[in-house]
Amino acid sequence: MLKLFKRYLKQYPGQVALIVFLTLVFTATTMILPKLSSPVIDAGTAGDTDSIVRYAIIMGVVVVIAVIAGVLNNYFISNVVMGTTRDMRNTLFERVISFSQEDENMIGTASLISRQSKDMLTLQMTLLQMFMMMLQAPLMCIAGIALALTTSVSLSWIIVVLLPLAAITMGIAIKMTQPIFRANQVKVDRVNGVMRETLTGMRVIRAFNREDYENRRFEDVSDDLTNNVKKGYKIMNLILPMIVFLANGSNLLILGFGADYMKKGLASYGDVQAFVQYTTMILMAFMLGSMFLMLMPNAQASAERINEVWDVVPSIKESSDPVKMPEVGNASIEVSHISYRFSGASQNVLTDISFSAKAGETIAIIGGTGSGKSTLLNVLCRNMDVTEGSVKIDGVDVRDTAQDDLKNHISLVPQKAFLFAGSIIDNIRYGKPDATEEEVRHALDISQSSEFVDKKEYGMYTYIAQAGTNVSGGQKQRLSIARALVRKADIYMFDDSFSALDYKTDAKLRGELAGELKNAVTIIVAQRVSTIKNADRILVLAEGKVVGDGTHDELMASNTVYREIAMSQLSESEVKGA
Amino acid sequence: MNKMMNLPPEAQKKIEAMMSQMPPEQREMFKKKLATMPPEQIKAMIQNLDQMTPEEKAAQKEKIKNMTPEQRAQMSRNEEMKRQMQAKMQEMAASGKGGGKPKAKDFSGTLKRLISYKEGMKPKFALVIVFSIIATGCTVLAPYILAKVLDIIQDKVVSGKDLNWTGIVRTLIVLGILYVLNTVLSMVQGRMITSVTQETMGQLRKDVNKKIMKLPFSYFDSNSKGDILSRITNDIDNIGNAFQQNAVQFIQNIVMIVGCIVCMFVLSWQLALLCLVTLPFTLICGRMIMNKSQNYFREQWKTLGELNGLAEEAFSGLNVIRAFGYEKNKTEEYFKKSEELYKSSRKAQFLSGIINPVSSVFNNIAYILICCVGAYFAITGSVSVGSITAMIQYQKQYSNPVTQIATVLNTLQSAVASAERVFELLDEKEEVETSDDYKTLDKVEGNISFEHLKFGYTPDKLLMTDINVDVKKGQMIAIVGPTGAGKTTLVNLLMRFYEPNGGQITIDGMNIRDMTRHDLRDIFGMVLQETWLFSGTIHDNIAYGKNGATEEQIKAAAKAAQVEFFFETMPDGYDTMLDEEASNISQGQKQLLTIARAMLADPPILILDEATSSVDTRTEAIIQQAMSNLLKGRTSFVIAHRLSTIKDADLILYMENGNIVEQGSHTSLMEQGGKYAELYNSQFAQD
Repeated sequence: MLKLFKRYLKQYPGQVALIVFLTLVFTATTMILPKLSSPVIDAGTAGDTDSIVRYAIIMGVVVVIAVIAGVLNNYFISNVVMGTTRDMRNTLFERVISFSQEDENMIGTASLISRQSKDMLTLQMTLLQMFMMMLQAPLMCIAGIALALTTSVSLSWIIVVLLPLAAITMGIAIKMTQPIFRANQVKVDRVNGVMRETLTGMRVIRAFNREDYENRRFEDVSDDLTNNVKKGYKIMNLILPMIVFLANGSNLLILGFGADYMKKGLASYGDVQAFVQYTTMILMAFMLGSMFLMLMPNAQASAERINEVWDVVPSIKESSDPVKMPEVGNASIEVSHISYRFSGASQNVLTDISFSAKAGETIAIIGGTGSGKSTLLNVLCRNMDVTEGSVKIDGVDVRDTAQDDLKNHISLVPQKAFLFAGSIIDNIRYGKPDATEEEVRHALDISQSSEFVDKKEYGMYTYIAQAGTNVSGGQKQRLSIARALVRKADIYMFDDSFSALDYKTDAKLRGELAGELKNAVTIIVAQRVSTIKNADRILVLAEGKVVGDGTHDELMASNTVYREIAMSQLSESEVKGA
Repeated sequence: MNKMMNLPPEAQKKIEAMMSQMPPEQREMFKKKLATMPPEQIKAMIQNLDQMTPEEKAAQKEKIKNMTPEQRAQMSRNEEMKRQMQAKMQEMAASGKGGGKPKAKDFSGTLKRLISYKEGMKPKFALVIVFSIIATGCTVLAPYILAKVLDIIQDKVVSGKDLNWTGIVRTLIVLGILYVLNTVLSMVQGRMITSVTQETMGQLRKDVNKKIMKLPFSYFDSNSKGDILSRITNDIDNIGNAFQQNAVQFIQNIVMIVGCIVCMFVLSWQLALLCLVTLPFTLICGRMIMNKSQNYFREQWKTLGELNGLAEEAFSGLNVIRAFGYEKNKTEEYFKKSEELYKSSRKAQFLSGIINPVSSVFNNIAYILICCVGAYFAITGSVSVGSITAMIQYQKQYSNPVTQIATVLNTLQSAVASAERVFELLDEKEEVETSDDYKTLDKVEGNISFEHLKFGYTPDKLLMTDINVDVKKGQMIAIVGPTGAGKTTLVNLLMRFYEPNGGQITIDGMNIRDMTRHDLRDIFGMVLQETWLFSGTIHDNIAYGKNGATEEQIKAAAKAAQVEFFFETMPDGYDTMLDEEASNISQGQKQLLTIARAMLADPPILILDEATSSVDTRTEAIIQQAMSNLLKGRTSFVIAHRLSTIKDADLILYMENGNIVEQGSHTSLMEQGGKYAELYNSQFAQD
């Protein structure tokens, strides 16, 4: 964690130095007051009114310096802490946004989101406390010792006894509580997790009569959490009064011996009372420091999670000498003997797949759940790199060209229709940033979106809420098709993109697509046979291998897997008539 | 609904008219919301309703027509934002959050209930209070006694006489006893408050969980999961934190403030007054800065929310961003918001951070005053030097609690409000008992009949008016129809997730209300579209179907559900852990796992609610084969939207608007040429 902070704080060297300096001034001024109070009181006992006034003025000046230093210090701390978090936050975002599919899967979207928000907030808090408490604690401690020594050397042996005792107590406390606090978050998460499961699975739980089982499951995690928290507090409850006792005990010692020293003339009355205040301050510093250290495990875990994101080695590497791809308009794709395996897995997800297509052709891919259809598309548009074989688009190996260049030649409709917060037209323009209103209108027409878009009060300027919550699933899907269509590309990929459409709209849309995409290669992944019946070539995938390859008619005649799929969906007349 | 009575009649009418257009579930929710809404909000809502007369609507349309695209986009955005904001406000109003500080409705009542919630906690809590009063008392007294010692020393030093050692030692011993007492009591008190708080929290958590198992389903229809979850996590945490730290702190603060002030006046009333003079300045200054920083904090939280929203959106739509090369735009957008957040949080932090140094000015002034004026008094002899030292300590001791006490009180308030929300959940009505003398079916045949069944999610609006179906044992019944037709509702009634408003359901002639819910549900196996898995191994998730299932039975069930091969090839086989979202297996595999679970349960009657809709058709066909073996000799209810899967059912019920419109076999319904035939043909339309 400290490494992480160090890397980012380096960018604010001047301000950090100022903070250290101002903290020093602020600490010194607050500590010097007792030092000044001791001659005042001595003056009082000696009946010296002039000195009292003189010291009062000096003390006033010190207070003014203190407040100026305090406010300035705060200004720089706010600056540096918020600036550093902004920098870390920005780096994190930049990293994640450049993630490939595989990188993203490694950590998971939900986790990435919480790292960006929760963990960043934790780090910000830690950084803040570091500057406000952690920096002050050692300074206070050192200054306290120094002042105590200059006040009365003879009383200082008490500090020599006190310090190690305090340090040992704190050390034990931190060592004992650290693992407990570290475990705590995990246990809290578990309680919440089980609870969330219970709530989502209410029907299943009751249907299977498993209420008692669930209650037990919850009791286990809940008791586990309770015990852990109790254990942590038990230690804290012993340590804190102990520290207070140390402070009080040292007061007793100071007074007892102070009285003796005063008698012998080794210390003045003012010295003794200032000394009492210094020891209290030293112990305060210890408390501050150890409180910060106790919070560390939480921050440490957050820092580790952030570091994990930064340490992801991009699985897709940009070619060092990228080949320029030909202009859009020379569509072709050539896939030869590709295989894909997730790193660390023992089995291939895709094995030895080959096909090729040129402008105007439609390739369809069909297969069961988990047959590798989506992975195949990911490999084709280089969201993942093939383990073996090669993919050539417009005659160029996808690994040899710049990713931006490649993406400009491909237009994709993802399986899960995803829209961004913004107007409909903004969303469509993701496909082509400079698309005119007419182009957008055309894409909406082809994708059969116009009928519902036009019904809206603001037409294509209608605002889409975050995650598209104010449009239906089918509408989202059609808009995401429109977004892909507005882009002029060589390869159009549809990843199961018609599933949320009713049969009629599906048919109509595909009818218009054929004319629209006659200069490009169309690749359709689908579950419905009716969606792909008219494709030029259908690949049937099973367990990552091609088990059928041909047109609908050919496959119906010769391929059992394909026929099974078709039979489960089409009416008999359709199967025969096709 | 009492609140509505206070509204003018035309407003009532408007609200009623609005409610009559809502579906029943939504209306229930709306009613609840209305009950918790402050009157101003209701007024604003009615005004909103008023705004849209047909003429105005037309006028607005005309206006929109004349707008530039940018204006249109902006306008639409504003409206959507407003809508979201309103929804959020209503949600917050319903859950008791927001709208300033949460205030408990019955502070002392709830507090009493909370303290006596777990048995044996009340006396412990009383002891905690006594102990912390004594312990704080010790701390308060210490400087006073210290002053005595110092005076003795001073006396002798000035007069040059011999030190009164016995006097010093005696007072020091008293002081030592006070310190030891303070330490011991603090330790004991801390231990006790920990046990009181944590045990109570644990009990509350477990009780809420148990309660949830017993609540009728209608409760979950009108309360969001997020809200319930927040009660069990945030609210209980809130209570715990407040009582672990703030309850004791509150007592200590009060004792400290009162004690210190009393002692100061006893020592020297002049110095005490001098010290109190600066107090109002500290408080006012702190308040002023706080109020100002509040605005920045509000802005900071708002920007933070927007920034997180942006990141959430970008991370969720990463594949789209990648596909269209939008990385740069999104990064720029994020950086811009990030910069905004930096600016507002910097200001907020700065302002809240200067409270300390600024208020320390006043504390230090008090300090200087005590020192100097005290020293002056010492010259005149009206104050002893020991008293000055004691005053300095008191001044330090009491200024902290004074600034803290407002915060502590606020936290306690919000904790009690949290407790109120938890108790509210614990006091909800449970599922009703329907018989005094429950019977059991010895052997289940599986003859089921629905007789004149009536049901509505709200009693005044019936969804089902008269359902009559007769099912013979071993039959497969398919339920089809459009969304919202009541297919799942029918199944819910059969499983007694809801109770009918009229008529009855019998199994082998016995009214299901005469059986316990537990016994009834034992008869059924269920597979739902929502593939509910819990974090645990695959093995545990299948075993969920049956108490004490053997290894062989589990494997056999997996085999029957066609997932045996798949699970065996997983890295840890059946011991593979599924995480909470079960993201390590596909949707289809999840579905198969729940089917295996139902197969293991081996129930006399099976219910499949859209069970295969998320697996592909070929897998579905395979499962269907396995299913048909399972279904043999059992009565089964199948809800499906792909009609190809239910063609062979013995009886097909076509439902619409809560009632059965057509029933019969596939062929007879096709011949009839009604709604079923229409639906069937539309699914297999030629293109």
